[in-house]
Amino acid sequence: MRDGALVLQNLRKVYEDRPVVKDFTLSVFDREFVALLGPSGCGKSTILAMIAGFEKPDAGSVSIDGRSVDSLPPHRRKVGLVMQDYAIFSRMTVRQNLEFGLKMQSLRSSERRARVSELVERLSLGDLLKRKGDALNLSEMQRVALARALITRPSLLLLDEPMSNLDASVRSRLRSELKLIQREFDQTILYVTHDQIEAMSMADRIAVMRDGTIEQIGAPEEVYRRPRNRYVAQFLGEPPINLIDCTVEQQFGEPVARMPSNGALPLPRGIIFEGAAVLAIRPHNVRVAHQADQHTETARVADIENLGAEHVLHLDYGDQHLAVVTTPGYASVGDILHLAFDLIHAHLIDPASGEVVASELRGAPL
Amino acid sequence: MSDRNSARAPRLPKVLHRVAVVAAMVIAFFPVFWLLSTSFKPYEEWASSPPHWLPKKPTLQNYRIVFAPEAARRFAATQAGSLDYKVSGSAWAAFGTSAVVATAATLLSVVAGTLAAYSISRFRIGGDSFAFQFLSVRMFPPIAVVVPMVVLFSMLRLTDTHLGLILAYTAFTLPFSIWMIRSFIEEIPVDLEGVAQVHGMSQAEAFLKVTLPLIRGGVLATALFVFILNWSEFLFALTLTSGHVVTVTLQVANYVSASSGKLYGVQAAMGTISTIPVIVFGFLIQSHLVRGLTFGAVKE
Repeated sequence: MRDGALVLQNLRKVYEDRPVVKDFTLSVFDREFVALLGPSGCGKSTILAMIAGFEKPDAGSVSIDGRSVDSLPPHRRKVGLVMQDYAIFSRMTVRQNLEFGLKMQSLRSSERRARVSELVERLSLGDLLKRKGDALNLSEMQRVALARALITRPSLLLLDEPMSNLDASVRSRLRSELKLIQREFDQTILYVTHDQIEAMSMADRIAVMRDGTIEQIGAPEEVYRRPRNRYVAQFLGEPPINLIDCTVEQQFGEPVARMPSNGALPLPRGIIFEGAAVLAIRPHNVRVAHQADQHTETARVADIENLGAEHVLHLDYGDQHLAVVTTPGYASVGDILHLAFDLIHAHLIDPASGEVVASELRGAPL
Repeated sequence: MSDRNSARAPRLPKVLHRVAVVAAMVIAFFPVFWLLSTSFKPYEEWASSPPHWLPKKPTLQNYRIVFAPEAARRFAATQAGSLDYKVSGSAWAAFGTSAVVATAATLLSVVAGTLAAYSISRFRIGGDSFAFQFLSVRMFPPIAVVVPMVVLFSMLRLTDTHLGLILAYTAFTLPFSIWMIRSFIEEIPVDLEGVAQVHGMSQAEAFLKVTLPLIRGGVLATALFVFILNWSEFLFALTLTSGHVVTVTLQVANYVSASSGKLYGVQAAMGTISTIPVIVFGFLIQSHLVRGLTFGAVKE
């Protein structure tokens, strides 16, 4: 594995005094699939445009395959591009679309045909070749756009929200298909999306972005299980993570979290500060029971969201809101439930800075 | 019988529909009809009361006066009580002048407009409201700027020249060109140009070979619109010339006689002929026109 198929160093872009991308640094390894995940307007697409060469960075540099491309025009950067609306040339046939880049490279027609048939088979485009671009449906356009990008054998494939126009039912299949294609073609991919499911399911690493910078980068598991701050914790996961205001106290020399209905959760010994904190815990990691066991915290069911396979209970918890996931039919609105927190999966966040100050909060039982 | 009645009932709205369309067409085409009719009327029928809907004694004399004034005079001499008029040369020259001026100004306006619209749309030149600022230039009534224009043109020695009129027309239609063509460009995803560039085109090539063919209908529709404005323009033609450069509209206004006032029949003949180039241009680009004019109005 060579390293640094794509290296972005301190990229910066300012539009009308507003910095859109700030000191953005990222390395994508050869054959790696990296997702840039963030809300719209966080600068993801601008970064893509700077890599492709459509936008000139105000500072910083881009190198692809170990060579600086800062002074190269888009077509000499060896990148492939799949855009949100696919940008299929509507008056050309699918074959002409596929051969477009190869013609621009002045490849012989025998070579062009060989490359087309290779991809046609892999992406099952056979019956589409003679169709005009404007006679394709969205998912056909997506496949053609992908094939057109792959056919030039780019060092780096850039995908900008390629699935956001498709139906949910198609997306799931395409996610696994794209991942397979990536492996088969040994393709390095930078994938821009605002959809956490796409990032989680396909990427080797996810870079969670906010306001033109990376908040956290790591493997999907890592970013999901060990968020660095409140923003990352909230951005990933469905239903969203619970953020419970609590107070950290030292009780008989042991740290505890004083919870909304006044119970105390034991915290690991290493936590030495006292005062306001936020306990972050995912809805899947809170268990509920009708009977009091050793549980001390209770909450009332305010609303039930039916997701089919499971139910999300929205609880009134003190004066706060808490979501938990249960099997269907477990509780009804108005029930009082006892709570048990899997603190091993919980995080303590400093409310002032928003940083996670402690994870894996497995404390000694009281 | 009842079958026929029930079949007829739903047709009634359709009939009303047709009546409305016919009424609209009558209103729209009446001036054209009147123009045509008048152009074939002899002098006595031009303004007769009650009016003659169709010429009682159709004549080609009006057209003769337009194209062959000498022959018309010889013809008039053989007629009793004929009209006296000033023979002011054939109108061929005016058609030539208008063709040159309107075509050149249209080309300039559309070419410059396309380039400017592309810059405004793709490079955000001048910010978001730049195209509108251009358009606001056209919110002045032309009469308000005519006097400064006359002063400017005489300083630049452009008065009464073809070039002068071409420049004036270009300046006044450019905002329309920019505004219209910009809206067509913005319908075309910028990503198409991005993909073309990644595959080996320069940005200029991507514009010329990818985007421009897609907006061809819109550009032609804009060209027709601008051409009509130029072809029928009167105010600038009147104020920025002094006898050497005579456009079609000026020639129409020239058909006046000392004894009979305005020569309506001759003016109608000239007007009839002057609509022909516009109609021909329209037919030539008809297939593009529908696409161009409905562009943007219809979301796919």
